[in-house]
Amino acid sequence: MVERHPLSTALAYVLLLLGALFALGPLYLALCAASVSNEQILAHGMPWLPGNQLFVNVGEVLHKLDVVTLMGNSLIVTGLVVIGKLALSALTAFAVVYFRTPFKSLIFVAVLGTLLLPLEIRIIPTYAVAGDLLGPLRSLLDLLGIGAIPVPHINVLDTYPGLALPLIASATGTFLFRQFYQTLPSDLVEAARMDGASPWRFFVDILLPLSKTNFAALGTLVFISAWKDYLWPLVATNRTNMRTLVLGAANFAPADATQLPQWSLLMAATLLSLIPPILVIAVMQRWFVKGLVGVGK
Amino acid sequence: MSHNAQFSQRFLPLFLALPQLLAVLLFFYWPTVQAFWWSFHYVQPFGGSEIFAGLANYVRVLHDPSVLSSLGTTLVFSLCSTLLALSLALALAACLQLKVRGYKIFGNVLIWPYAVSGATLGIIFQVLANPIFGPLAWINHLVPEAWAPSAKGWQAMTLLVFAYAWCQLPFNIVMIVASLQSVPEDCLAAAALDGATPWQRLRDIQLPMVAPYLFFVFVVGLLDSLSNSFGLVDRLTHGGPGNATEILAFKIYQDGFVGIDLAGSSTLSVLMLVVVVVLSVTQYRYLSWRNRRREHHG
Repeated sequence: MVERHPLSTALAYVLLLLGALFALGPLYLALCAASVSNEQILAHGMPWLPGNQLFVNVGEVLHKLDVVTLMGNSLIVTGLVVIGKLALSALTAFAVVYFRTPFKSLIFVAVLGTLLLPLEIRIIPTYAVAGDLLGPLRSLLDLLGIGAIPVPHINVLDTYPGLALPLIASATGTFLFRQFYQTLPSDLVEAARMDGASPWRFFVDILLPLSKTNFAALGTLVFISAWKDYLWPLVATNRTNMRTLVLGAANFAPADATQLPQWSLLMAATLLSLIPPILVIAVMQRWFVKGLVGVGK
Repeated sequence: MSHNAQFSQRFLPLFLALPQLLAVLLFFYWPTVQAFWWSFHYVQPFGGSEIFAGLANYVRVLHDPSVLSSLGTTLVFSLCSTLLALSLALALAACLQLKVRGYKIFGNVLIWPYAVSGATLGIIFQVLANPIFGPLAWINHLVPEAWAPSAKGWQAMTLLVFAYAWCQLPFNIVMIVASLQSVPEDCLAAAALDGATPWQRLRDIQLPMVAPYLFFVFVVGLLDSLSNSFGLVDRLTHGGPGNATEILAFKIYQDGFVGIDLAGSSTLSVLMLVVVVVLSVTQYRYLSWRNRRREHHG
């Protein structure tokens, strides 16, 4: 900045402190509630300072909720979504930038058009597709009057592919890679062509190594968004052992309905589901911000 | 890019893009077509018959008081939460931009809420808002039953607006900081030499220069608030009390999965799609206008 101004510096500190309080307050209070006994919350209200019951509560959550399975589910599904989105985005962008083809704009528009279709507005028919993956094909065959061809039923609900596949298309990722490829000098591909390298060689040996930063930025962003997903795991899982951690922790309630709600355990379970994404954000902030700015522009 | 700089295979690109094309056809376009189809039919649940209904579903839905109230609720929720998140983010981004000592730590911490799923935050806020033992319980000690978000619609809505603004804050801060950084440093240095205070520089130089960008962040925020708020609403208020916080995305889910009204839910989906398209076109037209203006100014 240009120069220091004592009054505005003081004001900036006040506002930033209030902002940090606003941002961390709910998380801090959740931590406080998770570290005292439920009886204390009910008798004395929520504490303003952390207590000493955190590990007792976490232990009880681990006992009552299969956190290891849920965490594993979250990691597998999130991993599949990250790999899927990165691979599909990079390949599609490669196809639309580096080829002279009439399908170019068709591909790009088809992918970009999905920005208009958030999951929330197509949730029920998407659920129907996941329950019968080849259903659309059957309907099309019926429409063409060749419905006699048997089409098998494939139900991917309650499976890892079913949790990941509907989420792996990425308009923003494709856009990000396309922007990046367009900034690369065209000498690269001319040289590759002169050396007789195939498009695939060019992609693997030249483009991928150059894209490391973009993979890191987009990967961090996608990891966090996929981890936070709630609606799709909610409708795509019936079995509790297929749930993701965010969903499982949100549904964590005492097994016996006659019991009082175990608020402190609920908060402890919630905090457990927050550890991985907060770690990623705090540690990989540089990549995360880069991804967010790239996607937003 | 010159023609020399491209490969000439015609069908290879189609093959490369095939996985993504399959994913979007199967999970985006087909379900959307299906929703349109259902919105023009009487549909019986569980694979029953479908009878063409013309516009009957639209007439029914648009005369349904719960739909109209849901549209109003969505408007109030989206506008309030987006504006709140935008103004808070603008103030904080301007402070970060002063680069006071330790600003990087503040910057880091202010982004943390991005890690929290709406559903998770809903659970946390439900506990925080508890009228008996929550941090706001003292209100009820002063005035009995004054704070009761599970009974008073406007309090539930206020809670929801705050909670969603909390979720939205990091994205807005990152975007606004990036836009403030695009203001040329020498402009600010010149103004400072002329004796402009940081506040004057913000008001007279930075704000006018990033104003169009703020509009862009605002529209993106509106779009996000239409869909991304589902988990928060589901966990914090569940659309209640009554239907005071039943935003459109929640109603689509609720009518479809709980009410098993495929036609009605799909009709709502189409209406929401219209809103999304209108907002996206606004955003797109703004972007192309900005690009034209940039080229014009060199």
